[in-house]
Amino acid sequence: MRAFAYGFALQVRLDLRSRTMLVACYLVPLLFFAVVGGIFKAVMPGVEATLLPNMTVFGVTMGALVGLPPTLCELYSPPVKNLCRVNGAPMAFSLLTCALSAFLHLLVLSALLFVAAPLAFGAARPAQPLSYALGLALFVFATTALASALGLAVKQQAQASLWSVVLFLPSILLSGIFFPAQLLPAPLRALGLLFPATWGNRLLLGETAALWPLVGFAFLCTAGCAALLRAKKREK
Amino acid sequence: MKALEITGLKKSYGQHAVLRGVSLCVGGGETVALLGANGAGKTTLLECAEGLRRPDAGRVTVHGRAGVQLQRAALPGALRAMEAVTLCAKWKRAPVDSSLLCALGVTEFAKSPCAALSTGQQRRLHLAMALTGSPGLLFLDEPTAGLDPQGRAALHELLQKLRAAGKAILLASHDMAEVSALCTRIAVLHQGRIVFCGAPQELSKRLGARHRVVIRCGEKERRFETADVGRDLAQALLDCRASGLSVTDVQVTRASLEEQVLALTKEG
Repeated sequence: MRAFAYGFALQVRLDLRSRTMLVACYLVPLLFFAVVGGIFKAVMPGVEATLLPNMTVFGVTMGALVGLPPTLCELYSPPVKNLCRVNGAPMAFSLLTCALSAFLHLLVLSALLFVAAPLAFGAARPAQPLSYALGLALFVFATTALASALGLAVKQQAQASLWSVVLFLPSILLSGIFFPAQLLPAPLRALGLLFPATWGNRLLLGETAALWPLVGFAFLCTAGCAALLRAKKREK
Repeated sequence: MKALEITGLKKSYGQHAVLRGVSLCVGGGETVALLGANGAGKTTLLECAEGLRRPDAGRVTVHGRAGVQLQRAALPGALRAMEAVTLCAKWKRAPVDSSLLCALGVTEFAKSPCAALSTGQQRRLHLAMALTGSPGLLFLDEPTAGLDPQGRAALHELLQKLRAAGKAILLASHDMAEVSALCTRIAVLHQGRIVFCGAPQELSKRLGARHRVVIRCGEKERRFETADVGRDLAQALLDCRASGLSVTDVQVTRASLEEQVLALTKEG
């Protein structure tokens, strides 16, 4: 337990030091929020009602999908993984510390947006803050689990970055952040349902029906991570 | 007391059998070198013993805690050397041994990120991690590869101290000078089998103490290898005299460990 606590605290620092997570989790989402938030406010009347959930979904999706997979990919590459194994680290150690650290960073980002959005752009705060917080935690968990599965599935960091973008772009474009999903053609609308960002956006906007699909996503991705970890343990 | 027992170990990659029933024991206070050509199965044998590979058959028993230094290992670039050692100590539920870090020179680069470490510094850091928790058995795969002469000498001194303290060490190395200096026994792997296991002196006895002889007669030179240097050298000198050649120089050198191992694997 002490090793896990130390490893988690260390990973939180490493994420900021290594810059991948710093950029993907804080710099780009906050810059995006500052620029696009201002544009939305200027050109879209009534955007204040959806700005906070939209920006949060963008930030969380970007931070998790772009920031986490390359880090996990490095930690589960044979030279690092074997060194950890022979020194007594459990197989799940790196995954748990990384995923938990990413979860924490994404919650901090969401909190920053929660504070800044109303102040900067007059964005509406959620009517039920507790439900919003729980929904946000579930969305962050589901997205982190998806990013973790991706990081464990790919073998090289370059591949991880490529697949991160492949998942990130449709997540954002089809989730209803930039324009209502109802305006999309039916196939693209259906495709959008395959990404947690769509359900996360709906849940944060107060649509409780999005809860169970997001729970399902979280469960599937967590099961996928467990299966990938078992496979990693078998391979040298 | 035995620290490692390997019995009938077999391992194949597809159709290619790398280990064909290897048995080996390493006791406390012993340093055993695994020798053999590239592809002889040294790293596979070590990895099976370390638990990184599952053997197809056979048994590996490690008595007590083992420390492992891998041939190919890496740490995340942003991690600092001291953080890596501390994390390793937490995994092993052991304290960080400051005297060990000083002896290995890790304290000199304790605050440097792993990405900035030289190959030699990385090897020393990985060894410090392996030695954390005071293991009774050490697996070392090419321990001095990439080290400068000072680092190599310091490591040899440390390994001799560890052996004197009763640790069991199994190391794979291509450096015969290192093997000669450090090891109490050598195990020669050839085509997946141990073809010799014993003290280096026993290998000389088994092969016959071979000598290399060079006789120079002015411009002419005669070279040969022999297991009976007294008889063959005398005969060669008599031949020179009979041919009317005057001997200007004679060199007699004993076959090195490397040559003996090569002779053994050719014989096997």
